[in-house]
Amino acid sequence: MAVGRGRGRVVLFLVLALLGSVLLLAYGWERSVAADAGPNPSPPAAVGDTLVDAAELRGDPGSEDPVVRGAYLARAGNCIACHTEEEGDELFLAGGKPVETPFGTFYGTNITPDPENGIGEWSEEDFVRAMREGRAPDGSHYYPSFPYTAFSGMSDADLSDLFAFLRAVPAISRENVPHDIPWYAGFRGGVGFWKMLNFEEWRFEPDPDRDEEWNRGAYLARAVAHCSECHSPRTRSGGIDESFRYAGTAEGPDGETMPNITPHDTGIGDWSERHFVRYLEFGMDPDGDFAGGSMADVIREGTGFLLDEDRVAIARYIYSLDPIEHEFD
Amino acid sequence: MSPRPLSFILAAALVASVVAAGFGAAESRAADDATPVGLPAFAGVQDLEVEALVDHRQGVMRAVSGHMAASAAILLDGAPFEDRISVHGAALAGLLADVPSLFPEGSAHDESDARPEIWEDSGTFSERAQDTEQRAAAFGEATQGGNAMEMTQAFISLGDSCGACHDSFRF
Repeated sequence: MAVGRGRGRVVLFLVLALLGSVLLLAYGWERSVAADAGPNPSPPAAVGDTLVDAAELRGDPGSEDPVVRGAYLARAGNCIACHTEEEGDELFLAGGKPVETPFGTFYGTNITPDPENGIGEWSEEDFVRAMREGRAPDGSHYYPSFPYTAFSGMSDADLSDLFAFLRAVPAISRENVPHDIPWYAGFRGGVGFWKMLNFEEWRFEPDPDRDEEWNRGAYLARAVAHCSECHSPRTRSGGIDESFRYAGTAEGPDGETMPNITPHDTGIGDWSERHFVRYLEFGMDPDGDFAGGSMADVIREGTGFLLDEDRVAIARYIYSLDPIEHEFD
Repeated sequence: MSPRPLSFILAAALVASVVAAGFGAAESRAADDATPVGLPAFAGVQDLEVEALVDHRQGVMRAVSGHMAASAAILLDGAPFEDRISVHGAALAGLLADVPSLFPEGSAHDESDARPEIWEDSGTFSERAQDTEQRAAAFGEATQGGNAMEMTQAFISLGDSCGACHDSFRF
């Protein structure tokens, strides 16, 4: 019986594998780039004025220069942590950092203005469609490891500024590393199905019953910083489990435990907003401990660069969430 | 049934206890085999040493975080204890003077959050540790001088080095 079932499983596997490869061949494997593509920084492409100090640029939401406003959004949206493999300026935003998920290992892509490997050929419309609809310029779907589920809510003006910044960083011709995912996930039609289940285009609308600070925090946390993408458990189909949004998960990206960040005792209810702001600023928790792991990257490359008033606004929003009891190991 | 002589009962009890003890020991050994670093029932001397090493370094790390929290309250939130900031500065410089010594070879343990990379990539680990040592010393020195700006900068720089090391070497 057991032997028979084992053989049946092997046959089923072979049939599925065959079917899968036929489908893949028919569908066309879009990203057939060399797996061992090494870093290969090139001289900056001639796209307007290239920012030499892009990796150090702090950004400022009040600047008159869209590039400087965009740099701030890149920090707030934490683009750097996923799209830069290593610290330092040489490979800034040239992609390659792996993110392990239960659905495979995804690599941040090159988003410098390199025409071949980056987004140098993109129009602003292409960029807006990527951010808002999760679609590549050729119309194919992006995997939701790229959190367009959140970015979809960004304002037109902010998307335009962010694009201006990405046009201004030095172009680096580093080839993208193909995602390392099981064959059944390697077929982008499936992502379309995923989107039907789990994605809806949206736009952030301020809540008229709340003040400006709260709304600023809500916008930053939800549409830009996309906190809940990591700090929520996922359903079997890979969508966020709505009843536990922000309530953490033991099975976050890279196998890390993502803490409950709702103001419940099992979350960050025993932190004050001041502690929370400090944590986003330089990573110290109320016990005087300093986080490692992916949140350290988020702080070092992202929230640490923000204006204090924006960290305070994010804290306002997070502390206004419904406290959810969710404890896990 | 005639009552058994007392000596027979005592002998039986002795045999039973020896068997039970033997069984218990075998069982605990089996448990130890399953989790080589799991303790506590019949810990060998070496296990106890490792435990002590782990207790010590966790105590040191808690002390460090306590001084960091206290320093933050003074420097960043204005708790009125400026006159005592040098106590925390000196303590941090002292506690962090030789970080690698807290992590001797073979001190990995179930109860410890130390990653194996500490010993596998000891070069990077000592680099990071040195960074922390130097910054702790600099903070200690800054707290002697009493310049608020310098102290705050040295404090934040020390905190960054804590996070940088935890990022790669702590679970």
